[in-house]
This record gives sequence, C-alpha cells and structure tokens, in this order.
Amino acid sequence: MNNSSLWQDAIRRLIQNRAAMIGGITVVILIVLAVFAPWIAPYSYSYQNLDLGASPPSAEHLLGTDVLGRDLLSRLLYGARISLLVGFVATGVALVIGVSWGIVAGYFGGRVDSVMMRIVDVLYGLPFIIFIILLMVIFGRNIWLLFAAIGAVEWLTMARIVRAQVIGLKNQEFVQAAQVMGVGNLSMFRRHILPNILGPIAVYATLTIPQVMLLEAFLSFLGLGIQPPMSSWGTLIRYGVESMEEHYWLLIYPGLTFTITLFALNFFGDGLRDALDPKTSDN
Amino acid sequence: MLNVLIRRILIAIPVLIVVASLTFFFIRLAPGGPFDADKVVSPQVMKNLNAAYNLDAPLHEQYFDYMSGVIVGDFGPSFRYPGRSVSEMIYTGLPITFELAFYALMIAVALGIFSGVLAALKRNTFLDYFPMAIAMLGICVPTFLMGPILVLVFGINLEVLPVSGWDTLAGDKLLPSITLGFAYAAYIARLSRGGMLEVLGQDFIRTARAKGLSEFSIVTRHAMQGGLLPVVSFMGPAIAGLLGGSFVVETIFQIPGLGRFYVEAAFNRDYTMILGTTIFFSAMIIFFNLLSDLAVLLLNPRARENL
Repeated sequence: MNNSSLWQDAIRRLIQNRAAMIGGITVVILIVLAVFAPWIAPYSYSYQNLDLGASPPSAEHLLGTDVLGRDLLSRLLYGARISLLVGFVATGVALVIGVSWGIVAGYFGGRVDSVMMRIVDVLYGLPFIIFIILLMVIFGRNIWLLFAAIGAVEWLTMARIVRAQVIGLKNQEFVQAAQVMGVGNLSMFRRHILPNILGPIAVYATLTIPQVMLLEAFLSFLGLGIQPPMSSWGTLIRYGVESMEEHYWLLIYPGLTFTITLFALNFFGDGLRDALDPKTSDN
Repeated sequence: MLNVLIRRILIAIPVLIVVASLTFFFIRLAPGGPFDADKVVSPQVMKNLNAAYNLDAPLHEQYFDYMSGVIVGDFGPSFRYPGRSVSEMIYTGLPITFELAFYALMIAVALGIFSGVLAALKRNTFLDYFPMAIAMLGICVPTFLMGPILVLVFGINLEVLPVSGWDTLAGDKLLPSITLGFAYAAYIARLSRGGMLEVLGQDFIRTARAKGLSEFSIVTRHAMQGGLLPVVSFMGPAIAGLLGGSFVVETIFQIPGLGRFYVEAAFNRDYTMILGTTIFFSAMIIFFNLLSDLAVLLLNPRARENL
C-alpha cells in the first residue's frame, strides 16, 4: 500500500472537481478575511454613528449601516472571526472525542466496544439542542462553553465512522504483524491506525464544520448564543430579521454571507469525499 | 421482534430517568433563585414564595416530590406565570407544535421522496441535477433565514399570505409549514436518491426487468421498498429535528406552540417550565426514535439478523 500515491491521486481528483475547488478557495478567502479583519475592516465593529442611523449601502459604508449607525461590512468581517472560530474549534473538540472514542471501541472490541457504542446509541436518541439551550441558560452565555457544548454533541457520528474503519483495519496483516512484534497500544494507534483512517476523518470533519456553524447561528438567532457587543453571523441575521421590512440590507448581506459559506464548506467536503473514495462518487 | 421491543424499552426507561434527574440537578446549579429578577421583596415575602413553591425543603425531598409528580404527568407550577402549571402549558402548546410538525413532515416526505426517486431514475440529467441543487440550497439555507425571506417575499411584498399567527387568518399555516419542512425535504431527497441508486443496480431489479414488468411497478413495488429504508431510519432524527426547528419557526411566526414557550422560558429563566419541557421533549424524542428503529426492523429482514 503506497500511502503518498493515494493522497496524490486524491488531490488530483480534487483539483479536477470544479465545485469543490471553488468551495475550497472561498473558504480560504473567508479565513484570510476573518484573520485580518482588524486591518481590513473600514471601521471598528462597535463604532457607532448615531446621527447616521440605518443607512442603505453607500460609498462610505459599502453594505450600509445598522440602526446604531455601525458599519455592516465591518461587523460582518468581525462576525466571520466568531462564526469560523466556533466552526473550527467545536469541530476540533468533536474530532478529539470522537476519534479517541471510536479507535478505542473499534480496536479493543468485545465488551468494551459494545458498552461504548451502546452509550453512543443512547446519546444519539437525546434532544441535544435542548441540552445546549439548558447549558447556556444555566451557566450564562459564555463563548467557550458554547464551543465545548457543541463539540460534545457532534462527536457521536465521528465515533461511529472511526470505529467502523478501525474494525476493518484491525484484521489486516500489517496491524497483526505490529501486534506480534509487541507494539504498544498508544504507538499502534498513532503510527498504524490513525494514518490509515485520516481520509474519512478529514472528510467528516469538513462536513461537520458547517453543521456546527449552523448550530451556533441557530442559538445566536434565538438570542441564546453570542452576546453583544460581539456578534456572530447568527446574531447579525437576528438583528436583520428584526428590521427587515425597512432595512432589507441588514438581513440580505449577513444571510448571503452565511449561506455562501455553508455552500462552500459543503461542496468542498463532498468533493473531498469523492476524491478520497472514488467508489462512492458515483452515487 | 418482541424481544427487541422489550429490550429497547428497558433501555429507554433508565435513560429517561437519568435525563430527568440530571436536568433537575443542573437547574438547581443555576446561579440565583427563580425570583431574583423580580423587584426587590422583603425577606418574609421571599420566604413565603420559597415555601409556596416547596423550595425550602431539603433537595432530595424536592427531587422525590418532583419525580413522583412527573410520573403522573404533573410537572409542577410555572415560576413565571403564577397560577399556571407547566403541564397546562404543555397541553395547550403541544397540539399546535404537533400540527405544525405534522404538516412540515408531510411536505418533507412528499417532496423529498418524489424528487429523490425521480433524480435517481433520471440520473445525470437535468431532472437529477436540478432537484439536487435545490436540495443543497435547502440544506445550506437555515430555517431562521428561510422563514424571514418567505415572509418578506410572500407576506410583505406580494401580500398574498399572512406573516404570522396560527389558525387566525386563512393560509397562515402555509409559510411556517414550508419553512420547517423544506430542509427535511432536502435531506430526504438526498437519502432517497442514494438509496434508490443502490437498489436499482441490484440483480433482482434486473430480473424484474427481464420478466417484462413495467418500469412503474419495478420502481414502486420492488425498488422503493429497499431504496427508501434510509429515509425510514431518518424519520426518528427528523422528528427530533422538527421539534428543535419549531423553536425558530414558532418564534418567527409568533405561533403559540410548545417551542416558543420553551424559548421564552429559557429567556425568563422559568426553571420549572424549562425542566418540564426538557423532560417532556426527551421522552417524545426517545419514543419516536424507538418507533423509527422498529419500522426499519420490520421492513428490513437483514437488520433483524444482526440482533
């Protein structure tokens, strides 16, 4: 098995997939804009020009201003930092929990496996959205808590995917050879198992990011997520809805930005899956 | 079959008890009492309030009181609305939320299966690409954006449909149901397309074709039974998701359902209401998941073998 050629093939297929490439490039541009927001944004996200009030897009304010006279473009750029940060950090949390859970369950099998996967099954059936709301109500609307809560919800599918992969790997000769040579569990996971399941993990992680961002925006929309003066895209959409009849731009631009981002992430994720696993790309 | 049913119910009951207990103690962890936000009251009044709501009893006593109430469907009084009980609010809000979820589900299933099956049959043609592009839109445009946009277009600009309310104006149920159902129509379309493609390539379909069956009866009698299995197993999670979606849709359209009560309770820190609805929602979702798992077992003999 030649590992590098698998990845080289995948990258070649990914580059040929136009939708995926456009998605990927969009994501990269968004990340760059978010990281450099303080230098790019024409105004500060909290700078108010109350005399101006809500004004439609103009030369000074390319996307207009909100009811407090704050520049919408600047607020969108700063919002990108929060929304993308939630997306990546919460996915990271989900990744760490899900991958470790799946590897342990799949590798040890037997009783360990059945207990661990039963727990996953049970958790699957619970209304997590309600628990996240509950947590936000009880412990206050704290952004780090939000990361942890969303991450703690999204790891379940990851655990299932990883477990299935590990079970497939466990019986292969190179793993058995390593076992015979007395390789310890930890270095077995790190050197033999993990590198071989990176593909599915990468695919699923990319597809988890938009789900996480959706969840955060959902909470912020209900007013239970990110609190002012900070604002995520979900918060901006919430304000936009409140005044959409008079100030359409306050809903349209944040909504468009959010939707384009989700599109880009989903297309890139789908493309990555097809590239890494050409068999499923026909379906 | 019966064994599976019993085993699943035996797991569901302790899960529910754990969920209810965790929620109960979590709520008690919350900083501040339920009456802190009210105007300043004298210590005597505070004491009377606490006594009236049984908050001065030892925690374990409160817990057992509460749990024995829950078993008979009594979730205690609301902290925010004096004189109203949580059960009463659940019973007034639930039928509305159920009705909304039902319409949304009907839209999702009808639209989703139709376009998914069509896309699979007309693979790689316009009839495949177009519905699938719309489905991608449904997945990427969240409910809380879809709803306001529909309101803006049909309610405010075209003025053909009411912008809010439930059962008060003609057609006011249409926009909320579409808003809630659209995303699930998209998921169901993708699932049924994938499922159908897998089944359509199998030998028994070729046999049916060789027998000279009409394409219509091949699709409806042979392919759909297996091809739509992923949709059936998606039903449980979908119903859970519809309930979550009802929070947003009921808030946008100002529908007096359980979802909006829950969001309001979360804002008002109406602890008993949050507690009651959480337990109630969990019970419902566990129940519907059980139902959809059983449906899959009934329809798919292969899944039965693995038990």
